[in-house]
Amino acid sequence: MFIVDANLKCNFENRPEGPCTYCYNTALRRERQDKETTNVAAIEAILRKEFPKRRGAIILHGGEPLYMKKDDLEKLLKISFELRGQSAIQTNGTLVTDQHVALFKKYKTHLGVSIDGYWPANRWRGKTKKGTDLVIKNILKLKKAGIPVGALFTLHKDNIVPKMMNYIEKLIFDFAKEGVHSKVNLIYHPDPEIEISTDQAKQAYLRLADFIFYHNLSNVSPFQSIINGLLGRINECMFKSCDPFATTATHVSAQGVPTICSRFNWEVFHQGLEQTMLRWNILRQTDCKGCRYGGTVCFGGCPAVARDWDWRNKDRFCGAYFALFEFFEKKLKILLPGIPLKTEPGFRPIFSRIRRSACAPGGGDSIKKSSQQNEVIKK
Amino acid sequence: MKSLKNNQEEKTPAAMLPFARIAWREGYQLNYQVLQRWAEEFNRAELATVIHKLRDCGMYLIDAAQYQDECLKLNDKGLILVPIQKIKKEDQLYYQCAVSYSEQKAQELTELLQSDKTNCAVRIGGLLGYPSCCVGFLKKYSTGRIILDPLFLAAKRTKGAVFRKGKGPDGKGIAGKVPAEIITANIAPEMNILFRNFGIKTIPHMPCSFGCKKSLELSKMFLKFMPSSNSLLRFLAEPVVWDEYKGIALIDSRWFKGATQSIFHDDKIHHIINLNKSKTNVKIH
Repeated sequence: MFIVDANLKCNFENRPEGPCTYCYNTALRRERQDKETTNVAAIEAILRKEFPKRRGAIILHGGEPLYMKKDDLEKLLKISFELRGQSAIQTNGTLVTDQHVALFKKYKTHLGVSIDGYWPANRWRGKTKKGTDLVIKNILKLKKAGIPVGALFTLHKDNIVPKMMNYIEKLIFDFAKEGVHSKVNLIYHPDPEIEISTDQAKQAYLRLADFIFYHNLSNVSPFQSIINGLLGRINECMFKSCDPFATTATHVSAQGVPTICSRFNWEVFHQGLEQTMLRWNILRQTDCKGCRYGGTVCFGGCPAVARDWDWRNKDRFCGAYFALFEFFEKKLKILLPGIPLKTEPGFRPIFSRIRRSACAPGGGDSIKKSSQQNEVIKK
Repeated sequence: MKSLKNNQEEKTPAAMLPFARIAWREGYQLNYQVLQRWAEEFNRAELATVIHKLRDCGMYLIDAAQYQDECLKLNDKGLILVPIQKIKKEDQLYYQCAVSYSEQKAQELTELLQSDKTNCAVRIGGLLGYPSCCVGFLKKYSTGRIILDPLFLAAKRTKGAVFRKGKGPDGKGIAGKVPAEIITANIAPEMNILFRNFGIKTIPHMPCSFGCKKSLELSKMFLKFMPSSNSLLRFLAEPVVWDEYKGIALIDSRWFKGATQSIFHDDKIHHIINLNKSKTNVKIH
């Protein structure tokens, strides 16, 4: 995955209400935005050089990518499209125009839009009800125009309270009805007035897990990722073994420099060449020793947001993720008692078993027969 | 320190993988060539000090692909090489060799290094020309139960260094959050061995303290054979923080943040060496 600093400036800084309360990027951006204007040529050069080595999605990040010159935005989308066959943007969703929609269609752009729920759960981001409604309207507009769009929710001190959680749940539900996927992240912030405790995170996640389970909502992360992990399917970087010296995600700065993942946003280090199991080798002997999910479905979480901001520790919200693994493991076992899970010894993913049996001598006969029957019916 | 020992007695140090890794700060990534040069120069200085008979033996790293040629060249200069171990670094194979102008001494060093090093530390140190005080320190240290990196102990033994227990910086640089034992010292750049696992050093051994006079003299002997000594000393004089936790030391310098192995312990304490940030210099003793 490539996270490209397409534009370090954000339109929220110019609005009367100011930037988002929890903007993790403000300090870094203020320090660098005067020095760093977007160098599209340098970004292109580095993407063309690095993409064949690492591959993965190319996501334009910010600041606010839609706040940059349209020509530059198009150039970056075009490069992504040429390399990957699609492009992606993470945006605050306030600046979407019809011209943008045309660009998104042309370059098969996937959009991630940040929103923390219906007003007032979104007040740390949207600041006003009008601002919040505009983002929701734009998300639905994009969806109707056939653009793949997802919503990114962030749980923090302000919207973690039960009353506010109702607004989050309602928006997740309404989005799901419209086919908009949701992702619910936890805030990682140095300010204790903003960041929630592990226990609060656990309660909130379990409440949401119950909610999506009760309402049969699919594709809501991290819940979907947890299930994917348990079933042995491809998972997001959060639950993989991430090397802090050569992170799974490559951050490309506005000046076209490849650095480690932008979640380590307080310091800028160059991306290492080779990934190792360095961090997991420490954690398996210390913080994660004896953990039943460690080494199979979880590798200590994200190194950038580990306890005390020190990657030699496990993720500081370990308790919340552990509770989710436990929750979905139990549910899967109750609903599908025979299903093999990655936490079990001798695990073989059910999907590869089907594929393997189809490839084995005579194993694909039933598939062949059914396809022959289909052809006969067609004729 | 007492509580640390008591806690540690019941725990077995886990096997940590040996490594040394570097994450370059933006704008400094091309300095890897400088680092490489310093490491090569130090390796050649190991050889030069033996060629000039300033000490009996040395340790020399040879690229495995060039081993035969290099051996012949050094034999012409009257040196004997005995390979001790294979080392793999970034997909390249090296031989670490004992080198001496006397075949007998080279052989003796090899045998001693391959035997129980603790019992013959004095003889090994003598052959390699290490100061007796440093050999004694390491012998004393390695005969007891290993609970702390000798680097931290050497820093602690430094006269003039300030030791305190308290809260140290966390990974994000916000002061006063994690329990830590912190040593602050302003040392001679020659004695900065925090980067030793990255090949950046001016002395071949672990000094008994950061103010060891004999080690300082030895480093001056090595520096005579290192053409880039000025730039190396400038780098070593810069502020640096060495932060050991869970057996992994992070070395935070102006150019890069490195990680390397240390001695594993399961205490929730950071051991921090803060060099070249204070105003008072340590005493040479």
